[in-house]
Amino acid sequence: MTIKTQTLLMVTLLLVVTIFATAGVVVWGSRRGLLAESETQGLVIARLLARSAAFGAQVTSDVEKAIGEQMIVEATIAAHLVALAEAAGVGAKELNRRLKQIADDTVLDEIWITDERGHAYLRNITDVDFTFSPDRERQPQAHAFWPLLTGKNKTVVQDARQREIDTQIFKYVGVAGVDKPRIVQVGYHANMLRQLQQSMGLTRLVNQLVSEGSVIAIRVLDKNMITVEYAEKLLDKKLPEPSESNLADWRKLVSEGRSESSLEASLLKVVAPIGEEGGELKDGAILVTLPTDHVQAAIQNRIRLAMVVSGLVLLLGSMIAIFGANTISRPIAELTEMTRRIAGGDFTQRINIRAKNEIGALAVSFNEMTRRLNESIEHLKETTAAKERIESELQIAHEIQMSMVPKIFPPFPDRSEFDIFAALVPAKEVGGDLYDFFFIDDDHLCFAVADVSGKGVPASLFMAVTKTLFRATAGNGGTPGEILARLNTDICRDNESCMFVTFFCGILNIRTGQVDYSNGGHNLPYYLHRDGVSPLESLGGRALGLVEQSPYAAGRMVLRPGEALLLYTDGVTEAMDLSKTLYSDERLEQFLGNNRGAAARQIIGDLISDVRHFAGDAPQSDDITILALHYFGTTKKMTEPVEIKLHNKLPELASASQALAEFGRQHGLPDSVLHDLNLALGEILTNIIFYGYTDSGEHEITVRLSIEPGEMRVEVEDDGQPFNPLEAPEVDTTKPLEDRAVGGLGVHLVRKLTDGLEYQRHAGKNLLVMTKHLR
Amino acid sequence: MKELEIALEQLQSTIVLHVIGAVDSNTAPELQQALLRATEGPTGGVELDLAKVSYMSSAGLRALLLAAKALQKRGERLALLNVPPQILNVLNLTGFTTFIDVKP
Repeated sequence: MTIKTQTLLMVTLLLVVTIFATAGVVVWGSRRGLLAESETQGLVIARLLARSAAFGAQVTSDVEKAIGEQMIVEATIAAHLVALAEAAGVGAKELNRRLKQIADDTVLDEIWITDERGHAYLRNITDVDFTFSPDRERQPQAHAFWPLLTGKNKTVVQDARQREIDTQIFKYVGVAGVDKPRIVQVGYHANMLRQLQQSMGLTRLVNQLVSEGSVIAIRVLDKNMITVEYAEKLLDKKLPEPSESNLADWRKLVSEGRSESSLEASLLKVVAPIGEEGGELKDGAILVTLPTDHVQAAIQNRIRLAMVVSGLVLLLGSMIAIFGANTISRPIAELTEMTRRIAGGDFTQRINIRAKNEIGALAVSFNEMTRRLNESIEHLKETTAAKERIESELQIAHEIQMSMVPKIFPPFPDRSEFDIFAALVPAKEVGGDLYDFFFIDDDHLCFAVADVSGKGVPASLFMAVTKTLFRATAGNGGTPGEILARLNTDICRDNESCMFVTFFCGILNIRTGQVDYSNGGHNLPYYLHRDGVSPLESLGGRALGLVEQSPYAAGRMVLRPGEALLLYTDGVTEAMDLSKTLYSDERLEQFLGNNRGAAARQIIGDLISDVRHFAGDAPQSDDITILALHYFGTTKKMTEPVEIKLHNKLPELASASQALAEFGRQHGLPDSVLHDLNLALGEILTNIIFYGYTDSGEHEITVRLSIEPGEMRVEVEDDGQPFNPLEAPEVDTTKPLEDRAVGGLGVHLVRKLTDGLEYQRHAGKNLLVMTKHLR
Repeated sequence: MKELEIALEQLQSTIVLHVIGAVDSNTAPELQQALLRATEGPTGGVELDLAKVSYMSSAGLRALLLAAKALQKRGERLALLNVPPQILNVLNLTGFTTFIDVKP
C-alpha cells in the first residue's frame, strides 16, 4: 500500500468516525429531547385529566342532587293531587289518563302511586302492573321504597342507576302518601345525567383527547388500580391490557409520587399518579400512551440532514486529504522511482525536490549519495580496468618468464649419459626463481639454480636480467667460481634497486661425472648417492649483487653412475602449512633419502606433491624451484622414449611438430619418414583437439616418440571420447570431384602414410600407436 | 606460431597464389580464404605455387577441394605448381590429382 493511500485512508477513516460520532450524538440528543417533550406532554395531559375527573364528578353530583330535590317536589305534588282527586271521587281511570298526560307533556318519565299494600294502581304506564315488595332479593332497586308504606321514611331519593328490568339508567324518588299510606314515586330517565357527566367529566375529556388529539390511549385507574376510564384510538392493532406486573409497577410509582415514562414498541407510555386534586381518584394513576411517530420522523429528518452534512464534510475532507496526501507522497514517489532507477544501474539520476521538510533533506542526502556512488563506481571502474590490465600483463609476464627457462624435457634426448629435469612454480604470477642448463661444449653441461630476493614483478625482472647476464658470462668460459665472480660484478654494476640473488652454478663433465661448482649464498644442493643423502660442501660465497669484487671459491665432486644432485630454492624448505610450520631441511633430506633412486622427473614431481600436501590449504609463500641432475655415465644407452605433454589447443601442434623434427634430427632419420609421421601425428592431434572432448576444459595429450629396430614409433595417448581411426569408413579416392566429400581425409592420410596402426582403449584413454619403417 | 604467407600474382587470365609455410589445421583457414576469394571472379584459372610449402595436412586438402569445386562450376580446374614430392605423394594418396592439375 502506498503512503498516499495510507494517508488517504487514515484521514478518511478519521473523518468518517468523527462525522458519525457527531451525528450520532446529535441524533440521540434530539431523540431524547423529543421524547422528554412527549413525556412532559403526557404528564400535562395526565394532570389535566386528574383535575377534570374530579371536577366532572363534582358537577354531576351537584346536578343530580338538584334534580333529586326537584323530583321530591314533583312526587309531593303528585301525592297531594291523588289525595284531592280521590276525595273528590275521581276514578282511577281518569287519574291514570291525567298522569299519562303529565308524563307525556313534561320531562318526567314515570309516575307510580300505590295503595297501602304496595300495588301501583295509579301510573302513567298503563300496560305495566307493578307491586312494590320489601323483598331485597326480588326487587334490588324498588324494595328501597317500601319504608314509605310503613311510615318509616317520608322521602326516598335513589341515585341514578341501571334498572334491573331493562338496564336503562333511571333516577327514582319517592314520598309517602298524604291521605293514606302510599308510595308516590316519580322516575326520571337519567340519560341526561350520564350525558352531562360525559360532556363535562373525565369520560368526555378522555374520549375527546383520544379521538381528537394525538394521544393514542388514556387509561385512568383508581387507587385500587382498577380501570375507571379507558379510551383508545382505533388502530390496526389493539393495545394489550396492563399486566399484573404493570399494575404493581404503577402502584409503586403512586406510592412514591413519581411519574415515569417508557418507550414500548414505538409508543411512549407516561404514567402519572393522581394527587389531591383528583378528588375521589386520589392515589389512582393515569396512563397516557403517546405516539412517537413525530419523534421518529423528526429523528429521521435529523439523520437525513446529518447524512447530507456528513457527505459534504466527507467530500470536502477527502479533497483536502487527497491534496495533502499528494503533497506528501509525490516527493516520496519521486524518490522511490529514482531509487529504482539507481538500483537498475542509472547513477546519473538527480532528484529535484526543494521542499524544506524532512523529505527535502532526504532528497539532498539522496543526491549526495548518488553523486558519491557515481564517483565510487567511476573509481572502481578505473581500478578494475587497471587491475585487469595488470593481471593480463602479469599473465604475459608469466609466459615470458616461463619461456626463459628450458622446459622441454628431456632437453637432450640423444644424451644417454645423464638425465636432467627441473620445475619452477612461482608463488605469484611471476617470481624471482631461476634455473638454467646448457652445454658449454660437447662434454660440459652447465647448470644453475638462483633465487632473487623478494617476489613478484621486481624479482622477476631481476631474474630476467640475471639469467641474461649468466648466459653471457658462462659463454665466456671459466670455472663456476669465475663465472659467479664475473656475474656478481655485472649485477653489482647499476644495481640501483639493491636487490641480490643467491646463485648456485655447477658444470658437469658428462664423460667423467666430475662436477665443478661454486655457490653464491644459495642453499647447498643435496648429493644423492648410494649410501644416502648429504649436502655439498659449503664454500662460503656471498649472494650476488651485494658486494662488488667478491671472491667465489670453487668446489669439486664426482658423480658416479646412478648418483644425482638435487638443487632447490628455499621455497621448498620454507614452505609453510597453516600453523606456520616450515617444511624444513630435515623433511627434505628425509624425503630425498627415501626417493634417491627415482628418475629425475619422478623425484621432482613427487617432491612438489609432498610440499603441497604438507602446506595443505596454506597459500604458497615463495617461489619453488627444483632441479635434479641424474648421472648415468657413458655406458648407459639412450633407450627411453621422448615424451611430450600437450594441451588440447591447436597451437600445440607446432610444439609436437617441432619435437618430432628435433627427435628426427637427433636420430638422423630420413626426411620422408619425418614428414609422413609429422603429417599423421598432426591429423591425429587435430582430430583429438576438435572432436575428442565434450567439455571445453583443458586436457593433456601425451605423445611418445621412440626408435625401435628398423622403425620409428609414435604413440598418442588422450583421455577424450573413444575413437578408433581403424574403424573410420574408407574414403573413395576414385570419385569425381563433384562427388568428393570434404571430410574423412585426415584419417585416410594417417592410414596411408603409416606402416602400422594400432588402437587400444584402456583406463578411459585412447592409445594410438603409429609406426613407420626406416627404409 | 608461424603464419602462412600468401602472395597473389595476377596474370592475364590466371591468378597465381604463392604460398610460403606449413599448411596445417592452424593455417589452413588462411589458405582456404585466399583460394575461395581467387575463385570468386567470373572467369580465369587459379594456380597455387607450393614451392615453399613443406607440409600440407587434410585441412589444406579440404581447402584445395573446395577451391576445385568452386572452379569446376565455371569450367576451370585448379592447378598446382612446383609441388614438393611429399605433398605430391599425399595428393596421389587422396586421389586429388584426378581433379587437380599438377604442373611442373
